[in-house]
Amino acid sequence: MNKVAKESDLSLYGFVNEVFELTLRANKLGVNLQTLTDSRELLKDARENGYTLGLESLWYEMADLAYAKAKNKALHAWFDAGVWLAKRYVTGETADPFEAFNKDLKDFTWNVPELDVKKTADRVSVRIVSPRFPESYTLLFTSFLEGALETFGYKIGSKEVSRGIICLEAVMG
Amino acid sequence: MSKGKDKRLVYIPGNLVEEVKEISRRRGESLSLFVSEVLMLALRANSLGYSPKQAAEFLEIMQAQRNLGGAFVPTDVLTYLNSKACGTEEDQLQTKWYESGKWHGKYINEKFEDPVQAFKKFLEATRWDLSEVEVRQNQNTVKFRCISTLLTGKATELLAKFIEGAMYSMGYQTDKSDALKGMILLHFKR
Repeated sequence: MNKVAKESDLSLYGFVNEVFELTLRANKLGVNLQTLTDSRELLKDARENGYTLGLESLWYEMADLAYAKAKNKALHAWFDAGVWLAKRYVTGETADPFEAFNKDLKDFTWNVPELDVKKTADRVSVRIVSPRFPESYTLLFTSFLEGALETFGYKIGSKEVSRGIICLEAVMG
Repeated sequence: MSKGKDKRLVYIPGNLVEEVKEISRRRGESLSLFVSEVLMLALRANSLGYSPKQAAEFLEIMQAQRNLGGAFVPTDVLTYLNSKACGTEEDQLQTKWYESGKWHGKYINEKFEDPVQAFKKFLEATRWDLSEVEVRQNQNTVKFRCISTLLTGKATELLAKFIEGAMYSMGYQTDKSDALKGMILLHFKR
């Protein structure tokens, strides 16, 4: 710690004081210092895995406009994005590509209150509940998931989609 | 401070100790264990390139981003949504980005003591497609310079609109706006 303090042009006393102040600021925000490393890791993963961070409301409004103008093109673009992202996992060196995709999907949908992906031997079920999703975004996100699931070798068996709710059942085939 | 037997004495202002003591009590940990954990996390943050002050700023930015409704979107999808291919009128898109920036700026303006610097840090932390964000701030003027090797021409223009919207909410008017593919040059005056 002495070394780190010196590198930052601080005395040990000054460094420890700054750390204490940081702890109090984090506490006021309702987080702890672990959040720092977690957030940093999340941003790094998002960058490496082809995601962009922005405002949810802007994404929804843009999706709404695109869906209204050219529904099929928009659905196709989201499907292709699902295919592309899933291919990264399938062709990568991860031991369990689907599990890695599932984990990242959960991490990168921090704005979605309920996201449940269950995988058995040859089936996958996905259930998403997000009251803030407008209808267009719900349908586009479904298309994204379909693209990803098909890339993992699944065929969509059943699909129930309504504004803010996505339920998909897929079978390996 | 570590699990080892070697222990050191560091003087800390009493008021800080009292507040930290209170946090550790609420978490059900002894002060000594809590302080050791905190210092270890601070060393980890340091290894990630954050001094305690920078770590605090990053935490505030990330928390603000969550409160504002930050969400991830696949980059390919965003590229499509920004492009002509999706059929959306250019001025409609620009208005959406400008309005979104205004909303963002309003929040930052209320929340941070130095909103312009906070906004710069927000761009640095969350827009990883920007390789450089430079802000020169004088009493009544602010100059923004953002560089990216990844942004398309359209995406550059829309991000510029977002910044203009945010600055408007902080009380600045656009004096000069220049957005070329991968380069944003904006001048604002109060």
